[in-house]
Amino acid sequence: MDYKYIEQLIDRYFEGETTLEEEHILREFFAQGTVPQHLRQWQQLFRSTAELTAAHLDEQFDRRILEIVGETHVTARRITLAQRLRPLFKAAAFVAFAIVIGSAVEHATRTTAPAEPTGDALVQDELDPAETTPLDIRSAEVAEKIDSTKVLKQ
Amino acid sequence: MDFRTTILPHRDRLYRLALGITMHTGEAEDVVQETMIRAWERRAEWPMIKNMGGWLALICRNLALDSRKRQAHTAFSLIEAPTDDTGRIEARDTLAYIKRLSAALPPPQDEIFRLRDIEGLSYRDIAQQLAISEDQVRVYLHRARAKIREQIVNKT
Repeated sequence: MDYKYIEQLIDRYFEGETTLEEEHILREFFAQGTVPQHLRQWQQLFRSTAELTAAHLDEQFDRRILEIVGETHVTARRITLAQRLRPLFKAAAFVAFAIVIGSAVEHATRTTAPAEPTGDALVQDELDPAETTPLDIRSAEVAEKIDSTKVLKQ
Repeated sequence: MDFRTTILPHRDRLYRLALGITMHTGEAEDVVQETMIRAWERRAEWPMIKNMGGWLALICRNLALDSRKRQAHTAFSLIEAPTDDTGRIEARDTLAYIKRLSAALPPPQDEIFRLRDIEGLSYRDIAQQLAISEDQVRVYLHRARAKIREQIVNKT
């Protein structure tokens, strides 16, 4: 393999004439496993500078510094339409539940109340008390008449 | 302007800067943390700062130099404490090697070598940072690398 290009780059590096890109090429070259014998003397220099130019801090540092300055870590999260509408669904479900429970309670109280045993009574609920009283009286009178006819027959 | 988008993105560059001066990963991390805390304490000034990276680098550089002085005064070893972590051992060896090479360089050659070969700055950025011309940067870098070449050749 011809290493002329690399040798030229090395010479230019030590002359201080290489660009940042060319210095990157040199670091990449020496980072690989197989370096020819006559170039190995430069390997440690370029590998070391490669390590240092790539040195970085990790997420643990970010967490620590954000905690110190009081900014909590917030990561962007993709939200689906269903997730976005979930509060609305919950509210609708709650309203429906409240209606069902309300109806059930209303129904239960109507069926167990002693003053409202018949359909007539339910109708009377909506009538003026002044109009219901004569009806009750008439009903009582009719019942009395039936009873008296029964007695006469006997 | 919040901390996450204004200050945090500069962390790695500041780390390399601090690492180049302190030659110690733990110290460099502490320097970056202190730099960011100071920047946060002075957040009222952020809107007036035109070059945030340059401002942070200045704070970081001063703190790193202070750290290096403290290390020298306390005879604290620049070579990091032994650890079982393989990555740390490699970093320690790398830093020791680069430190040995740059120790033979007079100022500002050592700083220019560090700015170019560790921080990866352009000639222009180095010139701006040190307030010298780009031609002077090239001359100093040429001398610095010539000395480094000499050290390597003499060693082998």
